[in-house]
Amino acid sequence: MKNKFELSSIDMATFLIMSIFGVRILTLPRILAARMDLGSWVSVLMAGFITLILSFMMYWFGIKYPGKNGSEIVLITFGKYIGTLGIFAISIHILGAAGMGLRLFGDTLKLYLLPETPFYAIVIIMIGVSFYAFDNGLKSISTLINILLPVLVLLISILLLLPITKIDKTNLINPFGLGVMPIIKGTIPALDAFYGFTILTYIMPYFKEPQSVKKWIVVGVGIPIIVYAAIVFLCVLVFGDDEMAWLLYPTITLIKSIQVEVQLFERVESLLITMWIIIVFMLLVLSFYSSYLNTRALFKTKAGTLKDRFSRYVQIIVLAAFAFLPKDVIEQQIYREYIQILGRVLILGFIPAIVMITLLKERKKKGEK
Amino acid sequence: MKNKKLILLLMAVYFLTGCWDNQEIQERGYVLGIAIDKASPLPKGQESMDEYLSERDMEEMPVQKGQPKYSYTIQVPILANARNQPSGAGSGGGSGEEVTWDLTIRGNSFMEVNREFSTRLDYPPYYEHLQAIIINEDVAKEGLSQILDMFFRDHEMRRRTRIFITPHEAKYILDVQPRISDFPSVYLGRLPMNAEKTSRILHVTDLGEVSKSIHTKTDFVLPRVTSSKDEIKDAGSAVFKGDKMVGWLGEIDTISLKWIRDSVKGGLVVVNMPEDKEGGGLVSLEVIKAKTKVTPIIEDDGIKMKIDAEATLNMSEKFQGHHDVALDKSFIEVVEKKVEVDMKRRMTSTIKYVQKEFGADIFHFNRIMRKYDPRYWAEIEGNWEELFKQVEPIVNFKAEIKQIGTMK
Repeated sequence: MKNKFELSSIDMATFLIMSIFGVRILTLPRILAARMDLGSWVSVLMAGFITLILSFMMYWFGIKYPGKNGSEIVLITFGKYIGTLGIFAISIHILGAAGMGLRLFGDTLKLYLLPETPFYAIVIIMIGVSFYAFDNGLKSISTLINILLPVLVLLISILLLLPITKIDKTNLINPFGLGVMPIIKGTIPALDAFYGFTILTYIMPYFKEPQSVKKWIVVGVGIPIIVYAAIVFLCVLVFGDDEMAWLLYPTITLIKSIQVEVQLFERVESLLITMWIIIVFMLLVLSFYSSYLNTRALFKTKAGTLKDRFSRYVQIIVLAAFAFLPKDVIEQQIYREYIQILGRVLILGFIPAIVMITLLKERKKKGEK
Repeated sequence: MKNKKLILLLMAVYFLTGCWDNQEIQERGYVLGIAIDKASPLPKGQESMDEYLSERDMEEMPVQKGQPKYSYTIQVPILANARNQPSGAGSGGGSGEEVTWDLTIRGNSFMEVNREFSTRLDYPPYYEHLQAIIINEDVAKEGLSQILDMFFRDHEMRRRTRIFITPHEAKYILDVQPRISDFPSVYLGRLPMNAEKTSRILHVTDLGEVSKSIHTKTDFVLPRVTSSKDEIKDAGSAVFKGDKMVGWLGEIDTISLKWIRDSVKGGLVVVNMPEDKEGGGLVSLEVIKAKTKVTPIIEDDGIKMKIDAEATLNMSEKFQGHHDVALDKSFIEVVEKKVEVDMKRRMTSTIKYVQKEFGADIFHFNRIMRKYDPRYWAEIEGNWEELFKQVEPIVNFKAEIKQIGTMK
C-alpha cells in the first residue's frame, strides 16, 4: 500500500510528546502520593524507563511487519477470534480514555472557570473542533502538532520554573527511606500517565525511513518523562508528600499558589488553561485517529467509501457517550480506574505477547528451513 | 464542502460570541478580608438606638442546622471612594467617605453565611483577591479545621491568603482606617512582607501552610495581630496544637522560634557591650544571612535535637562610641562570642518553655525526624506528643560579623 503522505523521522518525537501529555498531568501527583509515602517521583522515572522499553518493542514489531499498524499486527499474531476481541478492547480503551479525558476537562473547567456553561456545550466544541482536525488526515494532524508543540513546550517550561520560589526544602526526603518496594508498587499507576505512547504503532507505517526514527523515540518519550517527573517532584517540594495526597488537582493548586510580585504578571493560571486546552484537544485528535485506524483494521474498509465515513462518525458518538457516562465526580474517578486497568492489561499484556509470538514464529520458520 | 463551511460559521457565531459565565469585572464584590468572631450581638456604639437595632437585625440569620456559632464579617472595597485610584481614572475620592463596606452575619457554616451575604450585597462576593483572614482567639481555641474547610476546598480561594489571630474582636481589625493604604485588609496582608526587617513577624502563615499542617497533624504558629483606630500591629505568634490554639508566644520567643525553624529572613540581635564601663551599653547587630540545621540524635535514653545555627551579621549600632573601637579584631570577637552565648540561651529557653507550657511541636521536629529516618519515625509517630516533651535541645550558634558601618 502506497501512502500519499509520508512523515519525516523527527515527527516521531513530536507525535509522541503530544500524545503522551495527557489529562493525568493534573492528577498524577495525587494518585502517586495516595499510594506511597515517599519517592513518587522516582516511580515516574521508572515508569518512563519501562515506557521506553515498550516503545522499542512496538518499534521492533513495526519494522517486522512493515506497513502494518498495531491493530493489524494484533489480528495477524493472535488470529481472528482473539484478535477481534483485542481490537474491541483497544477501541474501548482509546475512546474510553479520551472520553474520560474530555469529562475531566469539562469538570475542571466547570469547577475553576465556567460554572454556568453546560457540559454539552464544552463537549460539542471540543469534539467538533478535534474531529474536524482529524478528518482532514494525517498531514493536517502533523502540521497542527508542529504549530502547537512549541507553544506547549514554552508554556510547560514557564510553569515549571515559577513554582521553584515556593519550595520548602524540609519536604525533600530521601525517596528510598521506606525501602524500594513502595516505589516499585507506584510504578504501575505512574505508567498510566504514559499510555499515549501507543500512537507510535499507528504512525509507524507512514514514515519515509522507518529505520531512522529510533533516536526520535528516545527524545519523544524522554521529554514527557522529564516533565512528568518534574511536576511530581515540584509538588512534593512545595506541598510535601502528605498534603499532596489531599489535593484533588495538585498541579492546578500548584500553579494557583504562584503569586509573582510583578504588577503585570501576577497570576499565571491563564497559561495553565492554555496548556490544558492544547493537551485535551490533541488528546482527542490523536485518539480519533488511532481509534479510526483500529476499527479500519477490523473491517478492512477502504478510505473514501461510505462504510469508512460511517466508522469515523460512529466514534464521535462512542466518545461522547463515554464523556457523559459518569454521573458525578466520584463515578468519574471509578470509570477512569476501570479504563486504566484495561489499559494496563492491554499494554503490559499485548505488547510483550506480540514480541514473544513473533519471535516464536520466526524460530519455527528457521526450524522448518 | 460549501455547506460544511456554512455550518461551521454558524456554529462559530453561536459559540464564540456569547458566554454563559459572562460577568463584568466591575460588577463583582471583591472580598478583601474576612473576620471570624464568636457569635455575639453587635456592641452598641455611638449611633442612635434605632440605627443600632436595625443594624443588629441585619446581622441575624436563621440557620438551617444548629445555632449560630460564629460571626463572619467580609470587607468589600468601595473602589470609587478610594484615595489611590488606578492611574488615568481621574481624581479619586479622598473626601472622607468610607472606602470599605463591612458586612457582618452571624451564622454557622461559612458557605451558608456567604450565600446569605447575597441577600444584602448587590455585587456577588468574589474571593480570588482575598488578602487576609482574621480569626478571633476564642474561635481559634475551638479549632480551625471546621471554619477553614471551605477556604481549602473552594476553587476561588488561593493558598497564599494569609491568616492572622487576634486576642480582640477580629472585626475591629477590619474597622481600622489606615493612613496610607485604602483598605485595612490590604494593609494587613502586606505587613508580613516586612519579615525581612524583623523576625518578630511570622511570614509563612498562609492557607496552604495551615492546610498542610492540619492534614499532616503538625503543630503550627500563626501571627498575632492587634489594632488601634488607625494602626495594625503584627508581632508575636499564636501557638496551635492540632488545629486548636493553645496559647501565645511573645515577640522575643518568636525570634528564637524563627531561628530554630530556619525561617529567619532578617532582623536584629541585641547584646551588651563587651566591657560595659558605664552600664547599659548595647550593641545592635543586623542579620544578613541566617541558616539553621537541625539534626536529630537518636539514643537509647531519648531523642536529642542538635540545632546548629549560623549567622552573618552587620553591626548597625553601638552605644558609647568613645570607649571601644569597633574596628578591632578583639572587639568583634568578643561581640561575636556574646551573640553566640545569648542566642544559645534564648533558643534553648524557648524550646524548654514551649515543651513545658504547650507541648506543641511548633519547631517541626517531627518533620525533621521523618526526613531523617522514615522507618524509625513510622514506629514512634503515634507516641510523638509525649516524646516531644522530652526532646533535649543542643543548641550551637555561630556568629560572624562582616561589616561595622561607617564609623570606627
